[in-house]
This record gives sequence, structure tokens and C-alpha cells, in this order.
Amino acid sequence: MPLHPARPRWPLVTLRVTAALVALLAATQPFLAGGFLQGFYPLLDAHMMAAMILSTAVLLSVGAALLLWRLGGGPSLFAVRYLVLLVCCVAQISLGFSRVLILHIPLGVGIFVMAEKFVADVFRFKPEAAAPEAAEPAAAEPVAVEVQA
Amino acid sequence: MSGANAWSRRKFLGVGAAGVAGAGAVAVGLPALGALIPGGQPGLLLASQVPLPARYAVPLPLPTVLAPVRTDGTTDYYEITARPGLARIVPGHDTEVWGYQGMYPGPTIESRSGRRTVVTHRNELPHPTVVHLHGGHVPHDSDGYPMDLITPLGGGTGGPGAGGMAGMAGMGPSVNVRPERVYDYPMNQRAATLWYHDHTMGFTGPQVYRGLAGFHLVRDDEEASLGLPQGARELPLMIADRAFAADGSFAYPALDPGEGRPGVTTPYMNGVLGDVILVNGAPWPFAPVDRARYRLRILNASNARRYRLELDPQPPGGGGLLQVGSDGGLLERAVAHDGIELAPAERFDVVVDFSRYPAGSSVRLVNRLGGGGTAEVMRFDVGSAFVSDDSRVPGGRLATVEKLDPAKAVATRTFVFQKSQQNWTINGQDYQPGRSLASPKLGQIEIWRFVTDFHHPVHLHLDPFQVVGRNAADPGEFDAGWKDTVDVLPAQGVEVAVRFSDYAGRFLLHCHNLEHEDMAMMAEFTTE
Repeated sequence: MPLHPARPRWPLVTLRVTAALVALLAATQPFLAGGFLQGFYPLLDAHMMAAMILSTAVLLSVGAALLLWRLGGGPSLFAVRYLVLLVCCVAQISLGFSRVLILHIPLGVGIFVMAEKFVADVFRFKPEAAAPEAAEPAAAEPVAVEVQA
Repeated sequence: MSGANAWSRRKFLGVGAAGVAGAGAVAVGLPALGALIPGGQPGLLLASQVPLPARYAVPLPLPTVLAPVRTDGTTDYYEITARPGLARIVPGHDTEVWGYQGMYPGPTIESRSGRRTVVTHRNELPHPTVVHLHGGHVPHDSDGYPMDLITPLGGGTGGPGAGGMAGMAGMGPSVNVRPERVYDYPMNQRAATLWYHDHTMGFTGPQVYRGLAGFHLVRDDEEASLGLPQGARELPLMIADRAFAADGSFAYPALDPGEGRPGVTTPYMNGVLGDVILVNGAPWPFAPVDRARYRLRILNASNARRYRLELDPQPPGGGGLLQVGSDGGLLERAVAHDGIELAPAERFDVVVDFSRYPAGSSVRLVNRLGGGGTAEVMRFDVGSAFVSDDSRVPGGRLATVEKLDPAKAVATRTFVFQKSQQNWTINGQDYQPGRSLASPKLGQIEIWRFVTDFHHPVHLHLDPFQVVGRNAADPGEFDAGWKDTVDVLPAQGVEVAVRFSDYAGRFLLHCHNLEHEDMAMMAEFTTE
């Protein structure tokens, strides 16, 4: 291991926290929406507030995933995924405000599925297991040097 | 091997059984759990700033019946002036009401079906008014179009002429002001419990809240022949909730108390609820009643509050509220209810037989959708004297009710009642006077479909309708008969059959949650 400089672990921890928040809020949103459709008026406001917080959490997840990729030796995949989710959330908020429910509801289902799938993958991700793969090009160099020597 | 197979078969069966049981628990348990979650209700409670009046401390007042100023062979003529008055509702304070003849409720008008009624309205209030006969089959000029104002005698401020009108863009040039207005009601309609109330553009909520509402009863021979309870045993009950400010005045969260700008503050957009229940203007009154049948003409005159009214205790055997009529008059057959649900502006004509209770009973009329004080409405104190009662409710047919056949509908129109960022809309649009959303032909049946986000009691002017279905299923248990206001629940689609008749012109459909109405949930249609 001395050949692999220690990767910081905090980007992954940060991503796990933000991704968990995204997953939790995405699971809460249908309850809030269902609640106001059952006549609980204040839940419409709560649905809107939760959407704002959710989008912020997705934005933070994008940042954390970028850090995980650049500093933590993780794949770029997470950053791409949360970027896609961010775009979906922005569209979703706009569709909600303009009450285009025919798109808002299916997209909401999609956002829920993505948020839950992504968080599961983030928690499943093991930096130790990924490190050799991620570090392979870097590892090849010293080996090559050794051969030359 | 076979042992292992048997074990795994057993395991398979066990897991399978557990799975089926689990799935069954979810399939049955979740709906059962869901049924325990009550639906939300519209509105936000505005708490009074004064000690509330004691319950069952004042007798039920009955609105006076207005005498015509003159009559001729075909017509009865009435005159009404809207002006401020004082009412003692909360302890230690007089409350200023804006009332027809200075009274809340206003005086009751009684018309005979087929006999023209002409009411001249004047206005001595600080702001312009409009009078609408709710449930009246009347021409446009007498319908109380929200821009047809009665200007205050001696001037006044605010109202639709005052400019501003945020959120109700394009007021147009159509404000029509007169110092007094003659409302001409042909009364070619069946017996029914109508009511008249303010309908001023953008300010119906605050003006009805201050007291501008009264009964207008229509009677006919068909009804008179039934032998329903009458005279002192016929009680009109105008139920409304109010909140009171520290000085005893009606508290209302208007955006602009000066009525330069319509609407209420954002938290109250879904309706204003008070914490005092008034019946005929009295807080939680009591009514001494004989051990006999009574006809209760119940009107929900609240701005936003919904009620589920029940008798407590229920009479032995239940079914204490025997409904004989709805908004548009008698039902074909009486329907016994344990409870009735009323959205704002709905009327239920019920007969209660107090002889089913022991002498000396106290029977409360309670509201199962309320909490604390608002869970109670009034109390009937059943007397112990032996009384005669020659009234009856026919067990068979009460009245002939023509059925509008949905299969004969020539058009189906959909109206979506939905919140926007700042307002309430119909088909995505704020109300704009002069813009018509539909042009139904007189005399032809149409299906009108109302789709909602939240609770919206949808009211049509000009003609009553019949509920055809809710969410593509049968009508609800409170939808019987001719209706002019239908309680559309959240995220629901209600279909009604309607046939406009006699009068061509511009009329309104709107939400009768008055805060929704003032915040633009109104639309016009033009009959032709």
C-alpha cells in the first residue's frame, strides 16, 4: 500500500449523508402530496419546502460525488447520476409550480426510484474494493518503472 | 435426498404461507389503516381574542318574516336596506353586524311559487354591495352579477370600483353602479329553501361574514299538501362560524380591511374558520321543542367550514335526521340519515321527530368535523307536555322530481378547480368579468364535470342540477335531489346533469368557499 497514497474518506462519508437525505426526502414527498390531495392543505406548502430541501441535497450530492471522484478515488458515475437527478428535480419543481401534473407525477415516481437506487449504490460502494481498479493506470506506472530498472 | 426435499418443501410451504399471510395483511391492513386517517378539512381557524360565550345560554332566535310593502294581483313588493346594526353575541361587547335591515340574519322573505317577488335593495353600509338570490331561477339583471353594484347612500369607499384589485386582472369597464337596485324574481320554481346574500366582486367573503345573509323561502301547493311540520314547528337554521376581535367585532384576516384589494392573508387562503358557532346569529343556542315533529331547514352559511351534523344522542333506532329536501326543494322520497354533511351554501331540509326521545331530554346538534367548541352547534330541549302533532312525512313519494337523463346530454364540459401560486382558478384562469367559459343552449341537457385539488363546494347560478356521479361511481349519500351547490371533495371528479332554461345571459359558476371565490375561483357562462 505505500505505493498508493492514502485517499481521504470524508468525500464518501459526505456523499453517504447527502444521498441518504435525498432518499429520505424523495420517500417523504409522495406522502405529502397524497396528504394534500386528501384535503390537508398545509401539506401543499410542506411538499414545496421539501422539494426545495431535496434539490439542495441533490446539489450537495453532486458536489460530494465530484470530490469522491477527484479526491476519494471513487468513480465518476455518482457525480453523473446526481447531476441527472438535479436536472430532473429542477424540471420537477417547475412542473409542480405550473401544475402540469400529467408530467409532474410520473417524473416524481422516476425521481423516487433514482434516489433510492442511487443511495443503495452509494452505500454499497467500497473504496478498498474499487481502489485497485480506480488506481490501475496509476499502479501501472511504477510497475513499468520497475521493469525498466 | 428425499428428506432434504421434504424439508425444503416444508420450508417452501412455510415461507409461501408466511408470504401470503404478509401480503394479505398488507392488502387488508393498509386500507384499514388508511380508513382511520380522517380527511383534511378546508380552512384555518382564526381564534377569538375575547372570552367565548357560554354554550346553550341563549334561546334560538328566529329571523323575522318580512312583510311586503305592497302587493298586487301578481306580485309582492319588498324593500330592504343593508345597514350596520349591533348584536350581543360575545359577553361584554356589542358586535357591529352588516345586516339586511341591520339584522343578522336578515329578515326572511317568503314567496309563493309562480308569484313574482320584487325586492328593492338599498345600501347604507360603507362599501358597495350586490345581492344574489342563491338558488333563484332569475334573469341576469336580477341575479346579482358581481359588478352590478348598489352604491352606499351617502358615499362609501372600497369595492370593485376602487381600482387595485390585485389578482383579478382586467376588471374591464363593466362596473355598473346604482344607488338602489330592483331585483325582480319571477319565482317560476318549485318550493325550496333559498337564501339571499352579498355577492360583491372580490368582497363576498368579508361582507357575508359581517352578516349580509338571509333566508328566502319558496312555498308551493305540492309541498303544502304533504302535511310537513309547519308554523312554530318549522325552524330555519342558518349555521355559521365566526371569530371575534378583542373589541368584540367580527375578526377577519382581510388583506385590506378598507376593501381596496380583495382576498385574505396567505395562511387563510383555504378559508377562514371561526371558533364560535352561530345559529341564526346566536352562539350555540338552545331551542325548547315539543315532543313532536319539527322541520329544520338547515343552511350552512359559513364562509369555508364544512359540517357533519348529527343528533346526540341519536334517537332509538337511529336515522334521526329524515331528509325531505335539498338545495332545490323536495326529494322524491325521504331519506333517513344518522348524520348529514354540509359544505358552505348547501341546504338540507330535514324532519326530526322529537317524540322519539323521552320527555325532558336534551338533544344536541353536534358537528363531527369540528373540535372543541366547533364540535357543538345547538341544543334542543324536549318538553314534557303532552302535545298534539298532526304533521306527517309521507313514507312514499313526496314530490315529483323530473330526472335529467345524462344520455340525452348534448355536451360535456369540464371545469378544473385548482390553486395557483397567488389565487384560486377555474380551468387555470382567474375570474375576469365578461370572459365566458361556456355557452350552453337553453333547454338542453349538458353534463358538467367538476375536478378539484382541494375541497370546493361548486355552485351554479340560474338553474339547479342533479349529481350523476362521483369519481365515475354513483352519487354520494348527500347528493339526492335538485342541487345548486355540490360538495366536491379533494382530488375528486363530480359529474352533474344540468339544463339551463328561460333566461339568456351571463351567469356564474364558482366555488362557494368564499375565500376561494374572492380570490378568483369564479367563472362565467353565457346561456343562449
